[in-house]
Amino acid sequence: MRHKRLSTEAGIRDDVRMSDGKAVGALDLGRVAMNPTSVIRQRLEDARDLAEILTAAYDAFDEMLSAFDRYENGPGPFYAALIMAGPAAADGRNTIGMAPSLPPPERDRPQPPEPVNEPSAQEVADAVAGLAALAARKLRAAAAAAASAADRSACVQAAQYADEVRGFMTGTGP
Amino acid sequence: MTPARPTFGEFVGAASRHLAVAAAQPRSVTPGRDDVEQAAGLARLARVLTRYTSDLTRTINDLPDEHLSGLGPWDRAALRAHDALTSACRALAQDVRAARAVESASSPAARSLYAAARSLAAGRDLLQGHFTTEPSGARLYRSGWSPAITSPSVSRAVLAEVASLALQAAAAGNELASTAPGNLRADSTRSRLSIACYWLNQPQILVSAAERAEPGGENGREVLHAVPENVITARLSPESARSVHELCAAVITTAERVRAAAWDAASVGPTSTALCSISWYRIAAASTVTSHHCHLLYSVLAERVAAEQNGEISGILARAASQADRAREYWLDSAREFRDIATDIHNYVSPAAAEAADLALWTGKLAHVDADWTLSIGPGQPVRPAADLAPQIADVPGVAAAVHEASDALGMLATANLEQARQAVRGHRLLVATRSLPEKYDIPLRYTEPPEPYAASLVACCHDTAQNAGRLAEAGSETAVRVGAPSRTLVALRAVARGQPESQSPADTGRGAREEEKASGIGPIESRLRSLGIENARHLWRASAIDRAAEQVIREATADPPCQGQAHRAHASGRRDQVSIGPAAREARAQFEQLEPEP
Repeated sequence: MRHKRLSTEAGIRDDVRMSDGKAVGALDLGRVAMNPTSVIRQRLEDARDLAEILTAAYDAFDEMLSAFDRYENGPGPFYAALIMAGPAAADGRNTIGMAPSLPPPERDRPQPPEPVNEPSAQEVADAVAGLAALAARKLRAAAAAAASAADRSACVQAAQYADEVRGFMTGTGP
Repeated sequence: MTPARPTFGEFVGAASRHLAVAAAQPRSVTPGRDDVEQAAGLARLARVLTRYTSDLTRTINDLPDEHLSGLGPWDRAALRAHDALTSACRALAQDVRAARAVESASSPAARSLYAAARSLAAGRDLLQGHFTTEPSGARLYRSGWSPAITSPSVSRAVLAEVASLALQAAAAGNELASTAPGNLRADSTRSRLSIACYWLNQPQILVSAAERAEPGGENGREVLHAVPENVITARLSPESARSVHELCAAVITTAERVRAAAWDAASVGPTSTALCSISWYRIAAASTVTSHHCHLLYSVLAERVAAEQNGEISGILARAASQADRAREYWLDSAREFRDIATDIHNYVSPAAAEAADLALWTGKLAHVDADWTLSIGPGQPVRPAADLAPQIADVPGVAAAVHEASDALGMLATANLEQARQAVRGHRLLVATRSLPEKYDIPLRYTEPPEPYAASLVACCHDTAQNAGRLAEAGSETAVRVGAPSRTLVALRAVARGQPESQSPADTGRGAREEEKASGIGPIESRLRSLGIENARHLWRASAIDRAAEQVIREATADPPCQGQAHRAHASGRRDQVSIGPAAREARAQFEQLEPEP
């Protein structure tokens, strides 16, 4: 079964829905309260200035990779798109890592919680697609406001990698 | 679909046909003019044949006379055949000069001789297209076919072809020389033709003698005839194939493109801007997916063959399916290693990475029912059933060939990744984000050179992946041979390329190469030169001399009791870095240890 496309016109809040119409991701907080993807997504939503956005986007790409890893280590069926999306997520993370305004890591920052259950392929795809769409939007907004050319370039390129990840997760990729 | 590339066999076949036509032509229609034209045609042909033997004896000719006595029967045959063909050219030298005046020959026999010469010249150009010559004169490999072309088996096959064609040319020349005498000019031409034909007969006699003295090289002719033109076939659009037959052809075309890109990728040096960790990651990710598809396809083929009550071949296909699954796991491990590492070059997708993704796409389309299958489609897509993949049992070899080609290409990608990772370690090009390091690393930079275990783990993982991808390629070879797949030529190519020390690609500088060095008595410097495709005998001697001198130094150094004791103590205590060595040696040892992961 081909999995569903995201509706880009519908915006971030409504675009990721299960086949029964139920929303997933950060907004479905009752179900995913302990989901690391949702925690990172919330941080990205809350990020306001460039440093916060870069930090949250870096962690978002890192979380995408962790989500892929968790799925690959689980019992789910082989999912080519999750594997193919990994390099784009890593490239996005590394690109943000080069941005001058990315602050040094906070060693004592609380780590995202461990997931309580093994998500299905569709759940991973939906959650990562939502995170990638949000990251792309926030990074483009940050690029528009960034003073340094290096920051702007990093934000724009990383947003493109987020789009690539989202393309793989939604079936609109290569 | 992309048209097939021309092969050397086609040019040789065409030349042979032209020579047969030349020999079958009626005797001279216009005495005098026809004689000159046909002798000139034969001279042109002899000159092209001489270029082939010149290529074969390029290295031998640089040897001083005292070394010629040590040559094997085939090298001696090549040298003498070259001398014989040169003598034929000399006998017809006057006719070559005359040929400039009669470029547009009117004699049918002469036209056939010219056509044969053109075919052979094009065939030689095709072979030479797999090499490049540096300003220093060093001849370097340019494709995966290069090591096979310079292998002893294929060199023998080239000499045998040259001898066979020279014999055919002599037959055509004899026809002309035996015509009834006419005017004085024609008699003089016939006399030179007789001499030339005598020399043109000699290579076949020499080759027969060499074959008796040293038989073997069965695969050489098959590989020689299969050598394709060294051009990259066009990239296929995803909509260009839908039927199983078309999809198999698309997989084979893409596998060829992958091999060419992987060959280039494996040849880069430690300062190359093509070294990029994300490209390695993309290759590993795509190859994980391709390995999975190979697993699916071999499993379905095993099921198809089992339905025909052929348990043995079904078992071989099932084993290949298992090996593909193992290779997938290793590729996935490799991808995880690349995920956590960076290089100073990023945001670069290498041609090998792009081609690897294409291979994953085409094998996916072949393995699944949906011809619109894409890499971003969801999981659980129905696998193409045996009845669709190979409706008739005669369809199995075609599909097996496609999967074999894909498996072989994966092996080359793994080698390319391994070699690039080694070069990155050698060139200190690896980086790791300091925020990903444990807290004990307090480094005030965003990225830093990774701690030694990172680099060692990366290279070891690439090594393991290359080994397992190689095993999948071998399993693919076995299935191709057993089911009679058209990709059998690939098996012969690999066998021929493995059969000689200089067959190592630029990538094969690891353990396997060193083991072959030991077995063949070739030292590391000479082996490295050979791996670069350098055939110049003087360079090889100098390399050999350096190797011998190094051996001598090592023998003398290890015979020195204090040094030996020091090394022994340090090794026994597991602290080898206590041995007092210079910075260059320390660096070399560090690199060596990183390049030589323990199994």
